[in-house]
Amino acid sequence: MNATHDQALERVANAVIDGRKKPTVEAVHAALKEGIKPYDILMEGCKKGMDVVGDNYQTKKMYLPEVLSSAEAMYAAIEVLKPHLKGEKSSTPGTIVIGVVEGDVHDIGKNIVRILLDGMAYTVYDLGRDVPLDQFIDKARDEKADVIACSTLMTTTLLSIEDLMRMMKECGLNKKVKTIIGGAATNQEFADEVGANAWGKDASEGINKITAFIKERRGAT
Amino acid sequence: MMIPPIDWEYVKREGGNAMGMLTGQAYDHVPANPFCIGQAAVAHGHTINEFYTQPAKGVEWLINHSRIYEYTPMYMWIYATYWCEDYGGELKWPVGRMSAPGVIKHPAPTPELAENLEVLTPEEMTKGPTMTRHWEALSTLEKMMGPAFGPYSFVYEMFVVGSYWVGPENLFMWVHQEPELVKKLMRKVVEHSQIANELVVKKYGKSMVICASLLANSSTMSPQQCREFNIVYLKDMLEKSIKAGAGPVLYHLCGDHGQDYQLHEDCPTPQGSIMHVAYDGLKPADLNEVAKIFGNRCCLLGNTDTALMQRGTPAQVYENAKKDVLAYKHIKKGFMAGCACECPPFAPSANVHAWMRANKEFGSMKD
Repeated sequence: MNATHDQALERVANAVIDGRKKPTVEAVHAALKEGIKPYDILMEGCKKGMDVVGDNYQTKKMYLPEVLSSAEAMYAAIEVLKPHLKGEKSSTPGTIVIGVVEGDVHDIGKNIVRILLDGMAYTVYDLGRDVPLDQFIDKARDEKADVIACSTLMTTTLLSIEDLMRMMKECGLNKKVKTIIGGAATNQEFADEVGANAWGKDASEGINKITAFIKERRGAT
Repeated sequence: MMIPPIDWEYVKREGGNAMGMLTGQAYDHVPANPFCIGQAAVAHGHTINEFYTQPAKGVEWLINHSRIYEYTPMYMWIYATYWCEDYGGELKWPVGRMSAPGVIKHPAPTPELAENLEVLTPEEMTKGPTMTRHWEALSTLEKMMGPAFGPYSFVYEMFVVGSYWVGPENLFMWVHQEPELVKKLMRKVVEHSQIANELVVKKYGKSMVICASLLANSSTMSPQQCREFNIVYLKDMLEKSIKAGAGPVLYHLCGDHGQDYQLHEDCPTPQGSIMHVAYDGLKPADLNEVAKIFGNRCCLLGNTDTALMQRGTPAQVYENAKKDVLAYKHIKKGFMAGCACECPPFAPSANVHAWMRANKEFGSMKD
């Protein structure tokens, strides 16, 4: 890659960091025009930008308004890149099934985690919110997921997380798939009690732990 | 009525005690109210769905529930998703473990729709789905409690009501991308909330305003953003409503407010107001710290961790409630024991009993 390419990729990354959709899309088109491979634009432009956003979120230099805007810009970039990515490797090895457990419709925290995972180019199956527990199990089995990540904001639906962990043990899936839980109602003690493999204090910590699980399972990527 | 006759002796004793604290008079012991809502239905063998879809029954269950545990008879039939349906949104009513109604459709999810959204007139609002339920709850309370009835309006958080209208992710993004649109929307929420407060004042006279800071909190936005896009509007709405006869105010700062509760300092706290700061990060906020700002101005409501209420042992709940009441009961304008948010509907009865017992045993103001 030459200096012009570096500049074009930096422009994509900066537009994502700024959280501006139109400049991001323009930067992606410009990078394509420069002849940069779509996969490189995705990884060296969009993902790099989202990595900075993730770091800034972790250190409280950015909050939800900025993170969600960056995510919107990144998804707009992906839409432009999609047709060009056919046949190209476009993701990092690692599959995550994510959702808010049955009984809870609060999904902002889960969405932030999904956005950051998307930004890292993992394959993410977002089941949404108020997800029946067997859907987590079925999807994880069907997609041979590395990790199930589930969350709840409400104290009442801690019971749903507990049930999901029990169901996973009963069908033996807990031996094949790692579990991480999160959300305002959860804590490490609860994660230990119900047998989850990890607890994410916040989105950033959750991402770090998911990444560690995937590395452990698949080797460094 | 589905419940036994009201025990007026208990209402007079416990209600009078709380009134003593809120009006600056002498009182015997720390008032305690674990903020049970859906749990009142569950305790009577009914569902959370019934509680929210049948306000009159919900109120009866609340009244009897307070007597079962002998907590301060301060009743609030409310739910967290007021004002969404009135503008064309849609709620999912609780089923199974769902502990409260949730928003599943936002009425104005684009900048254009948000721009054009018009605040309901008082005539439209009073007949809307939210106020229809609210009126049913208040009229049932009035009928049952007579002179001990305390009317209230529920306007919740300015930012969260905006999020019900446009969608929370849109609203957060627009803070970054279209701040003027968010400010315009917040002015509409102020106007809307003011009308809601005035409707209750017009019907019942002076009434408590229950408001909140919730979605705008220290985990979601910077302190500056919390101030700029929520707190200034909360203050404006309250000042206008108080001028129109509303108040005192119950502030419910739900979630993590470690970095922004201080910014509510400029908000009005007329006599009888209550400040409720739930968490600082993941832990219940230290109310002795909160008292440095608000302790001379209004009563502080307690913040027992709701996860402890649901999952702790009775012994843990008892020890925690004891620690809190001993630490906070001498805060100048008073301390009312409470949970950080609604006491979980399925919290074990033994835990609610343990919580009340600790507050009774260690809440005497003579010690």
